[in-house]
Order: sequence, then structure tokens, then C-alpha cells
Amino acid sequence: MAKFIPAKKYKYGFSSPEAAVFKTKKGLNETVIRQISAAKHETKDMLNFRLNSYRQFLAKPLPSWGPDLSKINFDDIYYYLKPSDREVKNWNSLPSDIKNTYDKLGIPQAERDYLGGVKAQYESEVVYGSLISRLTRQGVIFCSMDEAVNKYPDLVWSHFSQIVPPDDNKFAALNSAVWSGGSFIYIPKGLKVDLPLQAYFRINSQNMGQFERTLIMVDRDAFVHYIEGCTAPKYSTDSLHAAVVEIYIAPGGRCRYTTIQNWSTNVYNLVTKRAYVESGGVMEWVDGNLGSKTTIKYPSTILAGPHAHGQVLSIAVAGSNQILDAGGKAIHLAPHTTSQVISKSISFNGGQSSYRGTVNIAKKARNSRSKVVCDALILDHRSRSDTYPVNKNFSSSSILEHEATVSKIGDDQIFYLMSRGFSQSESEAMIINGFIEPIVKELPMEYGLELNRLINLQMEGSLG
Amino acid sequence: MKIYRHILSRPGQHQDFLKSFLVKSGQNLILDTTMDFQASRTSGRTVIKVVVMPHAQTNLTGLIKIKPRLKQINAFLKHQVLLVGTDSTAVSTPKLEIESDDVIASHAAVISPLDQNQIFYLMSRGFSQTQAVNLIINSFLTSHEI
Amino acid sequence: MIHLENLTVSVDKKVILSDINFSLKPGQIVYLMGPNGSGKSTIASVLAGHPHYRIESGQIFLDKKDITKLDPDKRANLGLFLSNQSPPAIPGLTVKTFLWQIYKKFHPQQKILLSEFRRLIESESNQLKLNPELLNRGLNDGFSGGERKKMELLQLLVSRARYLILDEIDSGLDIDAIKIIFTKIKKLISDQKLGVLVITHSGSLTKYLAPDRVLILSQGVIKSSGSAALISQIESRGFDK
Repeated sequence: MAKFIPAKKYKYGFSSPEAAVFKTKKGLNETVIRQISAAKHETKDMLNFRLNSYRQFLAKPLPSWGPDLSKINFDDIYYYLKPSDREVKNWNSLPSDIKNTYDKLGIPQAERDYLGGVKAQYESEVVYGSLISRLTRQGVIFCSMDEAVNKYPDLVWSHFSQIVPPDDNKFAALNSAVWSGGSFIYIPKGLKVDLPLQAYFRINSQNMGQFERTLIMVDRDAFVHYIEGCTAPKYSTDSLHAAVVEIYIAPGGRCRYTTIQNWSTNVYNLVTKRAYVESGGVMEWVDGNLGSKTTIKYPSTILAGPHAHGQVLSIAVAGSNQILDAGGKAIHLAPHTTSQVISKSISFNGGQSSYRGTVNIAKKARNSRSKVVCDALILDHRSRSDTYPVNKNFSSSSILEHEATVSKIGDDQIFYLMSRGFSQSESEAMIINGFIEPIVKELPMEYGLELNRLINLQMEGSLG
Repeated sequence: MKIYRHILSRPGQHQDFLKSFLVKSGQNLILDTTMDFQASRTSGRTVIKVVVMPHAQTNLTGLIKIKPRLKQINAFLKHQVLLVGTDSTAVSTPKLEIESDDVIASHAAVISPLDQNQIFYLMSRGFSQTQAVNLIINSFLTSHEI
Repeated sequence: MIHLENLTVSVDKKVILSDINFSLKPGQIVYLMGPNGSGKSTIASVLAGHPHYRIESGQIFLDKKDITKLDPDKRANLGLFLSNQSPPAIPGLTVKTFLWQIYKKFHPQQKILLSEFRRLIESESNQLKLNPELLNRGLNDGFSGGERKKMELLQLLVSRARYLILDEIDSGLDIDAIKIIFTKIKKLISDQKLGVLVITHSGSLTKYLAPDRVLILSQGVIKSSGSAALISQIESRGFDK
């Protein structure tokens, strides 16, 4: 891996790499890719990278396991669309369930416009701007991926596509070919950024794009917490989201990446997220999956240096017509590394949630330890829950533990709470909130509160 | 390869499948179990304990499958592997496919080395290291706790 | 008054209680005693409305209202409080939060700050010799038997019970804990005329809370009833007279 090169100062402000209004035709081919690259004024290197990735995408089959993806029609998608063409034109065009949720959550009108996809910008950007100026003076880079590729090529290419190469899987290849939008973050040595950086505070409106590519680089002993997404339902006219997130953590560095996704139920949400952690580094994935028609996502951590630690905290709430296939992966490649996965999932109203995970402790990962705990609640007889953990221990001095339980809400627990005066649905809500509490308490407070309210709302009317 | 299939088709049926294996040097134990719940008020436990000696391997897969609309099911699957020496390796993939809600289905996998504290304790009672290891391996293989 | 009239109860098609008749008045202390398996805990569960049990015949009245078919929460709202023998755990539901919600439910008019409430329950925890750290943990999650029993009592103190059912309160608690708990219960009896049904298989509790009336339950039937004197008879002759 190349050394970090100090970047020139980044000026916070509005920017949009595309020179003119532009939209490719539907469907994917080399011409479309060349057009995308040209509209972004990219280097030949990036264009070649896209073209090579496209060839990988064509060569790779759909995965033979997991949710059915055969209904995705790759020819019926716009692979590059200016955001204003993608936006929903007015509040009334939003699906009524999304509008109702906003009402019940009490979300202010301005936020609704943004979150509903009606407007591309969020008012508090102005407030946030001063924070960003301070960070920039300290050497932080926080901009869109599109800009970073052009402004800081050496820094970006040192890790871009190294952690998730295009041939990793079909959707990583697709993203590599047509990516647009996403964040680039670089945190310099020793700097611990105390306030979480949030995707939607950046002005660039392609944040919530379909093929986002994010790269975070945390230098030695630095720290950053990045938050992506939001609990309120996000309506997307795009039905395929194939994002890639790569994170590099230098020795002693630490990164927490929090995602809450609540995409509308027309969306296939297929994400490849992976962190590469050097010695003494720490990666924490906090992953909340509420929406989408189908989500496939396994935040992964490669523990490459001694004493590295990786952790995944995951919640999935699958309601009717939803398949949430989530989990986590930990690959131990060095001695004294540790990993932990806590996964909580709820299936109700015919929803299907799966935990899929891999722990692989290599022979050279001596004296390492991994523990995975998955708990799943099935709330009714129409729903389903599956668990597929693969546990590989090739190091005879390391300990690997996995446990999973699937059950419904205990009758004894319900009776107990009701005997204290709470109605059946109040009791169920309290038990469900208690069930997800270990993950919710790791979320920034506003998210935690909203998540609880949102889950209770989803449950309302579908339980006894 | 060893394959075991159990189907619980009678209401009220209970099935225990508790097996221990010692995998000697140079060997590879490949084992697959399925417990398929097809009737209500059934319970089943599968516990596979394996001791993997130096230069040996094991690959364990197991499935608990519960079809829709069943009531009062209790299912448990555990893979417990003791890695005795260098070059002992194990892969464990316990799976759950649950389509009923009135269930308690759980599974666990533990792949760990010999516990040094246990060895030290036995040696402090006068056993040689070899004797201590043998004692631990034997009690591991012969005990199946609830 | 709680009144059980000709109550016959079955579970899984097996009759557990036959033709049970007794009452519990406000401010009264009634002991329900019997050997293990006599159906004592069943009476507790049935009073609280546990759906597992089937009422074959008979009725239950609370303050003249027929509650035989009433849901557990409605009975709680009418002032019935069951202190469980083995309360279940609700992981993730913080004790503090739970107690606060119970308190708000039963004292809707009271305007007390959360910080004051917290001090109140910490003080009660200390009096019960319960580690206040448990207030921040999930309800009964990993708690010992004795800690769970004390938790039941904390819940009693923040609700507004009119009738208390104590199911085997002594299991898991030492004498000092029992004394403290009974002191608090006696206060509720004198201040609020709390009616108390003590379910136990040993007569030693009577030293700390004297009964007004004793009922002996055996094989699902009330074999005899009388005053506290009945207990010394049981102690010398056993439950089968």
C-alpha cells in the first residue's frame, strides 16, 4: 500500500463535476460508460478501470446462493442520471405509506422534502459548513468521491479498489464500472474527529445515488465516525442500488461506520462493504436495515495486523415482501486479532430475514478470538428466519465461538408485562425494544429514538 | 463422509443425536446432519463433539429445518471442537431454516484449543502433561451436558 | 374484596383445581398453604389471568366485578399485583425505565421529575439491600432468584396495588430480606388497606406477617380453613391430616 501524501487544501463549497445536463440512455454498454467518464472529466486511468470492471461484470454470474435476483432487468435501468431528473417532483407523488410515516414521526417539512427525494439539499448545510472549515484546516478531507478522484488522485488510488476489487462479486464489478457519488474521507495522523461526519450534510446531491462509491482512509492513531443514511423512509425512483464502501485503517486508527437504511420497497440494495485494518486498529460497523425489497450486505473486516479488532452490530427488520440478507464477516490474518458480531433480526408479516456470516481464522492468526451472537425474532407464522454461519478455524491456538437463537416473543414475558398493566401491544413493543437495545444504544441518540419509534410503527397493526 | 438425517414427523416426538469423534493425525472427518421438524410439539437436540488431533481436520455441517405452521418446537444444534495440536483445523457451518414462529431454535459452534488452565490444574494434582491432556480429551468426548 | 367462587381449573385437559372458594378482603392477610404440587401457584396464575389455564367452571370477582375472563392488564389496572415465584427476564428493558413506566401508569396525576423518581427507587433499592446498579440493567437479566424477588417488590412499591399475591416469596431470600419486605408490606396494609394472599409451603413466614386466615390446599382442593392455629397443627402433623 502506498504512503499517504498530504493533500492540498480543500475548499468547502458547492461543486458539481458534471459540466452540463446529461443523461445516458437506458441500459449498460461501453458507450454509456465512456459517456459517464467523459461527463465527469475523468482521467484515462479511471476510464480504463471502469471498462475493465464492466468486462468483469459481464463475465460474472449472479450469486448461486441467497435471495433471488433474477428479476433485476439490467437493461431497464439508467446508469447515469443527473439528480434533478431523478428527484420526485412534489410531495404528493410520494407513496402514501412514506408520507404517513413522516407524519407519525413528526418530521419537519423541510426535512421531509429532502428525505422524500423532493429536494436535493438540506437547510442545515449552512450550519454544518463552519464545522467542515475547521476540520479542513486540521487536514481532513471530506468531499465527494467524484471530486476526490480528480483532486487527490495519488491519495485515492493508493487504496481505491484495492480493498474491494472489481472481481470480488458481480455487483462490485457493476459499481466499479458505473460508480458515481459517494464520499471520500481522509483523516490525518493522530486526529480524532469528535463529531460524526454525516453523508447528507454534504451539499453534493448525488449522495444518495444508486452506485455510490465511498473510500475512507484513517491514518495512524486517528479516529472518525461516519454516518450514512437515515431512519426515515427514503423514496428512490431507482430500483437497483449497488454501492461499495472501502475503508483503510492505518496502525492504531479507528473508524466507526454507521448505516441506517430504510429504502422504499421497490429497491434492491446490494452493498459490498469492507475494511482493511492494520495492527492495533479498530473497525466498528453499525448496520441498520429496515427498508428495501431485498438487501444483501455483509460488512466485512480484514484483520491484517496483530491486535487488530473488528466488530459488526447489525439490526434487520423484515416486514411483508422484504428479504433482508445481512450479517458480517471477519477474516483474521494476524496474531492476537479479535472480532465480534452481534446480529439482531426481526421478521414479521411474511418478511424473511437471514443471517449470513463468515469467520475465517487463518493459521498465522495465532491466539485470536472471535465471537458471533445472532438472535432472531419471528413474530408470526407467515415469516421466516434463516441463519448460515460459516466458521473456519485454522489456528489451533485461537478460539472461535458462534451462537444463534430463533424464537418468538415468549408468552411468559407478555403475560408478565400485561400483569403489570400494559396492553398486549405495549408489552410486545417493550419486548421488541429490549431485544434490539444492545444495538440501538450504540447509535447516536436521535437515531436510536427514531429507530425505536419507527420499528414500533411498523409493528403497529401487524401484531395482536 | 458421514451423513445423518433425522425427521421428526410424529407430534410429541423427541430426538437426541449426541455423537463424539476423535480424528486422528492425517485424517479428515466430514460430517453432515439434518434435523427436519415436520410435526408440532416436537423437540430435538444434535450435539457433535470432535477432538482434532495434530495434523488432522474436520468439516462439520448441520441443518435445523422447521416447516411453516408448526407449534411448540424446541430445536438445538451444537458443534463443539477441541483442537489439540498444531495443524489441527476445523470448519463448522451450523444452519437454521425456520418458517414457524412458535419455536425456540438455537445453534452453537465452538472451536477452541485445549484450556491451559485445565491442564495446569490437573498437573498440579500430580498428572503428567500427557495424562492431563488425555483426561481432558476423554471427559470432553464422553460428557454430553444437557 | 377478591372472591373465588366454585372455581375449577384445568391445564392440558387435566384438572388442577376443583371447586375453590375463598375471599380476600382489603387489609386482610390470608395464607394459602399446601405441599408442592397442590396447585398453589396455579391459583396465583389464575388470579392474574394467565392464558395457559382454562377455567372449567366458577367465577372470580374483584370488588364485585366479574374478572373471570378479563385480560391480565385489565386486572392489573384494577389493582391486582402478582409477585411471581420466578419472574421472567426481559433483556434490554432497563429496570429504571420499566419502573418509571409503571409509575406513570398508576399515578397519571402526579408530576414528579425523572431525577426525583430515580432517587426514590435508588433509596428503596438500598433499603431492600439491592445493588442500585441493577436498576440500569435489563429486567431480571442475569439476576439471582433473590434479586428477582426484590425486583417484584420494587414494582409493587411504584404501582397502586389493592390486592397483593405473594407466590413463594421466601425462596431465594434470607431472613433479613424477608423481614424488610414484610415491613414494607405491613405499611401498605395499614396505609392503603392492601389485601395480601401469601402462598407458601412453610409456616415460618407467619413469624413476620401474621395471618388473619389460613387455607390448606391439597391436590387441588381446599382441605381446611381456619385461623393461624391451623398452622401449628400442620407443622406437627404434616399436610395430610
